[in-house]
Amino acid sequence: MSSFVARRVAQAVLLLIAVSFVSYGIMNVAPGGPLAVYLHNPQVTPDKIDLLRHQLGLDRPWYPRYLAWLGGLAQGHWGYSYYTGRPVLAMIGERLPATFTLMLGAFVLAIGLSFPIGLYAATHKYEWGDNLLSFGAFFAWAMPTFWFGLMLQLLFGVQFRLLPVAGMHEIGVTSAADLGRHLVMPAMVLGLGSMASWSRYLRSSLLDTLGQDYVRTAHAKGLSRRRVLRRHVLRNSLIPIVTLMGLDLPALFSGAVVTESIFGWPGMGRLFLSALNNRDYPLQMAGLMISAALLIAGNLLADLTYAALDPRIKYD
Amino acid sequence: MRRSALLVAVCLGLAAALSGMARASVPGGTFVTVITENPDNLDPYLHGLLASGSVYRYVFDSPFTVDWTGRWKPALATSYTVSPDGKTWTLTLRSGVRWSDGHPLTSADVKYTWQLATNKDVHITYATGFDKIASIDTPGPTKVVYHLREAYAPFREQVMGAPIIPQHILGPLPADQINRAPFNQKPVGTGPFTVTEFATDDHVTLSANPLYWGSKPKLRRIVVRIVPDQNTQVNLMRAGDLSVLTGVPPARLEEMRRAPAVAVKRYLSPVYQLIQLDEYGFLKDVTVRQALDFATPKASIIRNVMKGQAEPAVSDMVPNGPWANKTLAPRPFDLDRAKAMLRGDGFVPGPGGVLTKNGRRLEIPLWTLSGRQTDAQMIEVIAQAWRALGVATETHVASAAALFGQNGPQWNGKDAALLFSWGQGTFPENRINWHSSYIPKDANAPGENAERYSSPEMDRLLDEADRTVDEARRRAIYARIQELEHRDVPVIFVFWFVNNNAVAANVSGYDVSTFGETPPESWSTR
Repeated sequence: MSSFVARRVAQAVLLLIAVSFVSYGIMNVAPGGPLAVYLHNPQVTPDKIDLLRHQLGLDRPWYPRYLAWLGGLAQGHWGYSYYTGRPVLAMIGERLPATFTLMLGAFVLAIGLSFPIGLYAATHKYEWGDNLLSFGAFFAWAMPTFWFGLMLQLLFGVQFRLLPVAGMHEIGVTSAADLGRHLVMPAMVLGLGSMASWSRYLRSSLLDTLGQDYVRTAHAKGLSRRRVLRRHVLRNSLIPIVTLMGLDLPALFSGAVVTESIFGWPGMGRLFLSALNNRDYPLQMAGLMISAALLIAGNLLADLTYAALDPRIKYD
Repeated sequence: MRRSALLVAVCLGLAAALSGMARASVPGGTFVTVITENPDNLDPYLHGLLASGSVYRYVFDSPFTVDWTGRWKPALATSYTVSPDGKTWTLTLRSGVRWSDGHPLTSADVKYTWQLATNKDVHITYATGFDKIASIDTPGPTKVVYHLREAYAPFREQVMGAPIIPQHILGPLPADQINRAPFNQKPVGTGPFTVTEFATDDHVTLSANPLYWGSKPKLRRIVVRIVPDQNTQVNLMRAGDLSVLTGVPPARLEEMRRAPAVAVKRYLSPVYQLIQLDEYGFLKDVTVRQALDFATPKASIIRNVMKGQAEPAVSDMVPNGPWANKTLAPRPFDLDRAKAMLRGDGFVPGPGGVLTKNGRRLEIPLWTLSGRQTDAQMIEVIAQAWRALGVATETHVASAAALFGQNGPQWNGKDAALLFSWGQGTFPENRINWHSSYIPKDANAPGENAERYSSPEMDRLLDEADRTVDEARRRAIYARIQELEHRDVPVIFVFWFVNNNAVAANVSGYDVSTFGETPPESWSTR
């Protein structure tokens, strides 16, 4: 087991290096560059832009710059943002808690809602409740995030004044209750898609398992329905859902970009979005690396959970 | 069933408990505004994003300033004199001014500001005018004598209107440390407010500066919130979370006008919308450019796309400002006249109705920036009219980096038209836009005159305007410069933007015009 994990981690490192090389290359051949932002600023004169280009090393070809960046990364230096001049690591560190709070909120919400919904739908197949939940899930899946977010704001923030429209805290307040109030709407918006898909997959996986011979046998042995569901059905139905959850980790991370923008949530998504818009290469690369690492970690996590759930799966 | 009822009850109870919590509020004196981007750097000489100016303007002062009525007023200085040859400017500083950390402001700070702005090792983005200074003498703590390399009329606006920064904080630091100094996030200034908290991507809190040299601020603090989405900003205003919202989007203006406890203030913004005409082929021909101006339905765009939130433009000087040439009028939309001009210029209709000359088709693609719905609508409206004139026009939308960058349409050697906006501000100095020395040499050498407009008379006038310190003479030169802009059409002036600011009912002392806002120390909230 541990050798399997070690092998996977080694593969992941190689994969991340490949991802970084391709990303850096594409970024540098894309039209425009970090200084294009200044081209549109009447205060910044052409000779200033030339000087900035030299100061930032942008007058050198991209591959030596890439190697310098990779060398820095190997020593734990993530570089400095072109725009703020601040260390990239410090900027990410400031926002990490906000993004993980939001992701965790969305994750908990999605699990908390998708399990009972999926279970109910599977055990009440084709009844009106199941049909209603199916409709709701497809609707939630298809709804544009920004529209849903703005509707929630208008309803709960403007109309009823129940929840704050945007931000993470009231100015000068740092209580957990205040954070909770601010978290409700963004977590709902971010978690909604996952909630919808997990509940649908869980429903079909449960239906699949419920039709198995060993379930019928368990019922025939006189076990209670609840016990059959919990001991035999649910556990075996979880395998595809766990895969989904693992794969949804990076999706939650990238979905946070839109959610954070709508709700003014001070997380990493917004940081990387502005880095992309401004071509702040060091910050952009950090975002890509974190995103790729999350994807790989999510996959590994899913594989390991398989083994825990299904004794037939063994890694060596 | 009972279990689900219990769950619903718990949820409802939780919601009620959450909503019942009192919002934290400071009794009186907090003014909340909002910006879309995180300020990248609060040092006025190192910042790249406009959002930074929305914060540091409360923190720093300049020797002179333009008040909200457009008049020049002394701030950190009390007076200045200019020698007859225009090369020596003598400034007298106000005495008794202190930095927010208690240090006195002296002439050394003024001199250091120039040294920083011209320091080649610091990531300076703003230094216009400072390069004209040969040396600075400081004969006393309140006396500054600037010696210029040559007479330079915009010196007052560009240098004496620029913020002064503290020598005692940044002076001892080497260049690379200035680029990364904590000062860039928590600056020390002489202005009415000072930054007390900077929560990146969330908000900046500024508290009243007790050492401020001017009248004591009525507010206790200003909070600048950072929220990227414009619709969310409107929702914040409607929920009563903002004191002022700058630039209500036209689509939600009506809703804002109807909102209770909110007033909407309309004013002309010193930002104009233009179509840059890249002069590579047919666009070198002034007749073609004039015809395109006639074929651009400006009035219809103002009415239908901008919903009336714009005013006609004829030059780059804001029409209600002191520099506008009032004798000029925009070319009306007249397709017949445009067609006749092009026929007279040797163009004949070819296959598909596209005009051709010497066997070449008149092809002018029209580009704009992504992310602005109104701009995307505008290029469609304009392209439709140009096609009716006989121009082969395809529309394209691209990001700023793609549009203005080295692989963009400005560098492919072909005619192209680019629609975007330009903040001329309220000062006349526009050399970088029209002077032929600002035509970029190649794709890697930036220059603001990317339309490649070149006119010996324009160059001569711009040089002369820079040398002319006499106000009346300078005004006459800029009037002529605007006549050339109108005659030669280096760009098509589409309109000036109108802004609408929403102001909460509990705010007093706040007003806004083309030239700026009332001083923040006079704002208050009940």
